Amino acid sequence: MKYSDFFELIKTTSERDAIVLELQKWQNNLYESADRANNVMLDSKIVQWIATQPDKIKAIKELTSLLNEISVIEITTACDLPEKSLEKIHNKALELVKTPCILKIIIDPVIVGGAQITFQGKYFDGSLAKKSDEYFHLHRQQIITELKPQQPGNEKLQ
Amino acid sequence: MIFIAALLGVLLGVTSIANLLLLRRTQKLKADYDDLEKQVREKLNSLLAEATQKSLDIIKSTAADATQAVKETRFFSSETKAQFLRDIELVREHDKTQLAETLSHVENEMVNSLKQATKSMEDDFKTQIDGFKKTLSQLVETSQMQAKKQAQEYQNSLYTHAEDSLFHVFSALSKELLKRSLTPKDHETLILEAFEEARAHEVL
Repeated sequence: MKYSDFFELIKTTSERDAIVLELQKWQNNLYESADRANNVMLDSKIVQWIATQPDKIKAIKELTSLLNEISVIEITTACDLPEKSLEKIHNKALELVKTPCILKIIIDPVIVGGAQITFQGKYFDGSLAKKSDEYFHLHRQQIITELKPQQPGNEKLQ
Repeated sequence: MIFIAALLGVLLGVTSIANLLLLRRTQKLKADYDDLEKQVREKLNSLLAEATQKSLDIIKSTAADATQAVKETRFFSSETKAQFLRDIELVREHDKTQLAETLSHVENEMVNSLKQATKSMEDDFKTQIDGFKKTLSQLVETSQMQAKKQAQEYQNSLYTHAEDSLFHVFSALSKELLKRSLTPKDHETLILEAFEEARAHEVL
């Protein structure tokens, strides 16, 4: 098993942070007491892999370092996403970026739908709020005409 | 609305001041005219009275002298004397009539002169009033045009503000309805599309 194989298990920065925290805890345990060294909440694949390494502390350090260096795609969504959707989105991100990456998810209902995406200093606004605003502004006069009550003498002064 | 009220207030103030000035000017011209008319009439009356008195004195004196001379002479008969006295009386009456006509003529001429002077004054007054009215009218018209223009600009800005508010409410309401109508599956699809678009824009 390679390090990169673990990245498929991790979709978001919160998951990554939790794993890193557990790895640090494991590392500390290894220094302090061999009895409770494995007393951590980690995926069994990770635990098994580290357990088989000759130098566990070194393996944990390397894995922690890689996890901290992994590419992060920041996405703002309108609502919290179910696990299944998150998985699909993460897979889409991996497919497009073609390197290991995780998602940093920010919830902002103002964007209505879609996502605002930031990656390596670049930003793209694919939110439904932006698309709505663009459409509304493009058709502003038509919308106002339809919204305004049609009464004689109500015309705008020229 | 406060702005329009202030504009109308200013316009009303300008109009009131202009009317007040016009009234004061009119009063002064009328007073001057009255004074002049009074002076002319007083002078005319004075001249007429003086002329009448002088003429009457001359006629009286001449008639008296002639009558006395006729009465005192011994060379005329009583009939001749009587005829002469009648003639004298006729002459006196004739002179009186002529005097009256002369006085009437003088009076008419003076009245005509007064009338001409009055007419000239009236024309002058009318010209001044017309000019003043024209200036006032232009001032009021300019003020009204400015007020109307500003009111129109203000009304247009209000319309724009109202349209902005209407559009903002519509936009917010539409987005809220759109958000509520989206299912989790819709959200997922939209996010996946956003990723594809981001790729197309070379963000990913």
